[in-house]
Amino acid sequence: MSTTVRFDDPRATTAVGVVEILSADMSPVSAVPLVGTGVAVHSLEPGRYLAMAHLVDGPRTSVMFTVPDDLEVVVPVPASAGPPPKYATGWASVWSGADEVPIKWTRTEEGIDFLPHQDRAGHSALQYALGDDATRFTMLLPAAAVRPRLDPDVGYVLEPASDAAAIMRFLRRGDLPSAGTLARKPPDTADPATVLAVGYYRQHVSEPKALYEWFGPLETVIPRDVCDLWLLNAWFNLTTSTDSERARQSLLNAADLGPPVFAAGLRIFDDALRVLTYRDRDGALEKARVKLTPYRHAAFDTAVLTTFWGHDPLSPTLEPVNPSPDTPPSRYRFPIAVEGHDLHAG
Amino acid sequence: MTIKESSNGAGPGIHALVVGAAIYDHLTQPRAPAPARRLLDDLAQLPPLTVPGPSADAISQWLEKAGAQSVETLWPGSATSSEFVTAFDQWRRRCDSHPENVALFFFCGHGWSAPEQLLLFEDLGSRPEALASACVDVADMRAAMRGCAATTQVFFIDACRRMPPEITRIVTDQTVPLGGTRPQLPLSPIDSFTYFSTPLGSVAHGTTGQATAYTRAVVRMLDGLGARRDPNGDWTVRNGRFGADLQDVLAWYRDDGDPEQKVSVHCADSPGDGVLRRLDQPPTVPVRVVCEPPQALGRISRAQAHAADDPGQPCTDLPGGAGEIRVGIYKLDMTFQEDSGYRDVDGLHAAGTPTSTWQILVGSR
Repeated sequence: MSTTVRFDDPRATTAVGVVEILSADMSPVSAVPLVGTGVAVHSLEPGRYLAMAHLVDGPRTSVMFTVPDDLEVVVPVPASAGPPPKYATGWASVWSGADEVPIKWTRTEEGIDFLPHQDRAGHSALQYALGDDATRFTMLLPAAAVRPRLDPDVGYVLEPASDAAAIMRFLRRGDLPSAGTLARKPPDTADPATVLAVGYYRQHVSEPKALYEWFGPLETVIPRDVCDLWLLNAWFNLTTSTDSERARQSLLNAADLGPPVFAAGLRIFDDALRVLTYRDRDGALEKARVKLTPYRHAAFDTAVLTTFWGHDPLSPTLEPVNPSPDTPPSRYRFPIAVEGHDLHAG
Repeated sequence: MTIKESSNGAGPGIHALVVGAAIYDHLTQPRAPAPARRLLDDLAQLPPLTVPGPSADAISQWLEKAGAQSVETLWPGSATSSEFVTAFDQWRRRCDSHPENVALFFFCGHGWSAPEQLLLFEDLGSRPEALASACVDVADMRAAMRGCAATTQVFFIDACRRMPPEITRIVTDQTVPLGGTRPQLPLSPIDSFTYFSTPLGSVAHGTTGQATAYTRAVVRMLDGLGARRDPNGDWTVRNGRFGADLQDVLAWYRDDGDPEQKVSVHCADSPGDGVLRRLDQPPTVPVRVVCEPPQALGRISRAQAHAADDPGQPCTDLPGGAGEIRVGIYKLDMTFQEDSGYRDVDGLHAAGTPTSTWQILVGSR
């Protein structure tokens, strides 16, 4: 028998959380992603259950229901996970290395897909200013749409317009079961951000065998000049090989391409570096550390994608710097606007 | 420093190292190099710390009551970096005695982020030319513990996480060395979580002379609110959802006017299945009734919860619609004052961990 859990969040085009089904004695029965306007929970035996909704950053809510009486359960999920973005206008510009470059972008249903410049490896970033926020940089993953989220502390930040955002934010909150429910559902292997987030999940929960199996999809959709791929590879080697040189070489490769697209990669880099250099000196790794440490210092703590203030993507800073939000656009900058939860360009 | 060891025998259990650092006597250093002087001056201008002692006391007492195998505590006045190095070494050895041990570390005191968390010990400033020599890097601790046999490790950090601009000019790789050797490869799986009381770049909070809200929430979580029922029926507190639940508990017990606190979690390469505690019986959890319309809450004359599947169990009064109750399914009977105009209600509700809110739609007579 199938029970439908309905909830009300018009913004839930991607996962906003997870519904956990508990039996009357509070034993776990099932967990399903909260996406769309409702989800079906299959094969529940007759009896009483509790549907508990875990939102990415909203309050936890729960509803009792009885099978087979209540074939449809309404979970009173609040209208949105986090404060909704307000109307705001601003500008954006894509950088490759230390230079602004002509912008290529496509509009998708979820947000905007900025196509980073491919001439220079690993350093494509979007600079943007929305509303009154100081300008900031966010690292871009090619062919992965981004959308804005209004962070109460730092203003607008861009995050993947896919389940990748929820997976990474559950991991950051320390809710591994909810992240796992999303990461284990049949992933959208066409979306590079989701594929990468699943890789991070498998690293995060110490599943080296599962991570190894995921390198196929990762290497298919993530360009080899993306730092994150090498960071995951470095950690995989640390947990599977007695030869530290493999992990060391992956870390060196990563630092040459850095910073990572996902901020979680900066922490993996630091953890791996500390393991390899514990009570030891390594000149090459020290140089690698010098390359990525400024991003460790500057990256916004609450952002999924590596986001920071700075003069350009190669010079992250701890404090906001000019250009101010109302800086006249250069020839490569173009106007953007936030309307509701969507990001518009052009 | 005090060490209390359990008389439970030599089996696996919790081995705790608790630090309350509060008496910083070396913060005034007019001849210190400029960056160090500014960092010290910032701390010297803060009111004296009064929360680390009560916080260390609260967590130590709970650990002893809960039967921890060992609890080593550095109290205010003895929380120097040299005392810590000795204590850390002994703690690591105790944790190393069994793979099923839980290594639990708790710190309350001053902190900086660089951006890895630095714990500031009470001799901070005694060597102003080497300020970091009184700072312990939490990431170094985690790396040092990677080689320890205890497969479940938790670090509770209740300290500020601001990043003063001068911090990058302090040589952070000259922080307190923690001994040990490089972890052997391949790294063996462990469950290692760090729970910070505040996000990167933010300050930690406390009320003068009391254990902090974060500390009290950690104790409540370990005491049972962090427990979930395993498929085999046991109630266990595990790392997997501890961070998200800790945030709920902090918010639940937050008093009006208290600053909002956001827990920050660091976990990597950790499955989250490490058992911090196994309960002897199902936990008792706080429940709260929320009425629609809200003003109905103030007109409740009686609210009683009856165990739905155990009629023999005595009912629990929830005065004002709030109270504590053992986890389970309950039938809530609620009556309103005669002159309120609200109709009495009843219905089934679940009390689950870590907290439960029962939403009641109240009709008019």
